[in-house]
Amino acid sequence: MNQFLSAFGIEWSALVAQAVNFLILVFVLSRYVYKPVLGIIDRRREAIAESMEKVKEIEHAKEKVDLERAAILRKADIEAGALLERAKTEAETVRTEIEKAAKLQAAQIVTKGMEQLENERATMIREVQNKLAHAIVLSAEKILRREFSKADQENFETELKQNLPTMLS
Amino acid sequence: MASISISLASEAVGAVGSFQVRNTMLMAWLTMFLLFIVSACVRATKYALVPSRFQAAVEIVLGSLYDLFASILNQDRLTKQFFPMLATMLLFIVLGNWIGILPGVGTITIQAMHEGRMEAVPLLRSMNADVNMTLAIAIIAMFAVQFYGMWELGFRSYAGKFIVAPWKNPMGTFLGFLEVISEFSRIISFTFRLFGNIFAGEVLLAVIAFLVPYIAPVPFLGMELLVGLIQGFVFALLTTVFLKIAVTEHDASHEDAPPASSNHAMA
Repeated sequence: MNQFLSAFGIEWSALVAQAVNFLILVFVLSRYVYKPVLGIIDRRREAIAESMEKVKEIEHAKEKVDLERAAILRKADIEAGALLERAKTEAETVRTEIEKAAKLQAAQIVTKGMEQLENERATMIREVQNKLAHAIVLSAEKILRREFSKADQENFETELKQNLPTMLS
Repeated sequence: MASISISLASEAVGAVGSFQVRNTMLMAWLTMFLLFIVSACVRATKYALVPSRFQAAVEIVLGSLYDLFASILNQDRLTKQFFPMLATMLLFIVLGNWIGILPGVGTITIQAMHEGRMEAVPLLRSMNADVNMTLAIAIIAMFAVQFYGMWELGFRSYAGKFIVAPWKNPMGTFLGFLEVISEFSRIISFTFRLFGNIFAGEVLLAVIAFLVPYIAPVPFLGMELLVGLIQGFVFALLTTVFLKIAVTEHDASHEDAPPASSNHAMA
């Protein structure tokens, strides 16, 4: 046995020293390398899993939002169509009303114009009659070579004014 | 003509008091030092969630090893429990084997006492080309196998694998005896498989370098890199398999021992 041990150089002190070396290495690597590195791998794996979960949630939310958006757009489209239709109808109504009001106003203006014209015509005729009566009186004075008194003149003119329209018509 | 000297035993290159410092021990310390540097570099990365390239490389190595051991152990709890020992075993053995074939290892010699006389001995020698190293790791591995077996299954249940009452099951007694022998033989096979491969590699390289010093050793150096890697995996994976067998309930235990409670293991 001793021969065997000495042939291979087996010594208790060397054996224990190598075992201690290995155990120290196990301790150091375990404390400063394995535990933290495996820990960080696990943490990263968890973080990735969490991120994937979040991505799924975000995709779900996005799909939901897309559907909602499409529904809202569809609804808005329908509402816009209805609104446009209503606006057209209202615009038509308003246009008709405005047209009616404009026609009414125009008719009123025309009527008013006619009235004014009539008034002006009447005034003008009146003035013409006055001037004509005065001219006739003056002419009669010259023809008769007589001068009318103020009172005669006024009576004659009043009489003319009263009879002139009948005479002219 | 020059000669090559091949020694089965590692050589003492110095002494601290009565403790002899061997050339393989220097290599073990060098390997440890390199692994400590890696540890310090990993620690300097602050274990960031977004890793640097170095941290990512370390994570790939350790993550792959973790998955490898987990594929054998099939339990996350067990993998977490055994990982430090198994990963250290693999990294230590592989790195030790690889730096053992660096130029200078085995060729730089100093004058030291060897087998009672002063002679030129290599200053450095591959750490696994020393039975003391391989035996130490093998003993730790097999001690861990027995310890965790008992821890997980309970003493009575685990001992039931080796000790079976002959009046109940004579064949079981014999098989239990064989199991005990098998457990011890595993230490020997672990020790000499690793030692034999690495020592044989060293001898092969020495012989080739002696016969054809240039070019010819290159393919053998490549082969030794592969052997060093494979031996590290063999050692660690066999330990993993033995651990798995040890912590798994065996049929005999159901007959002779009460079911094991693993509550203490969970504590």
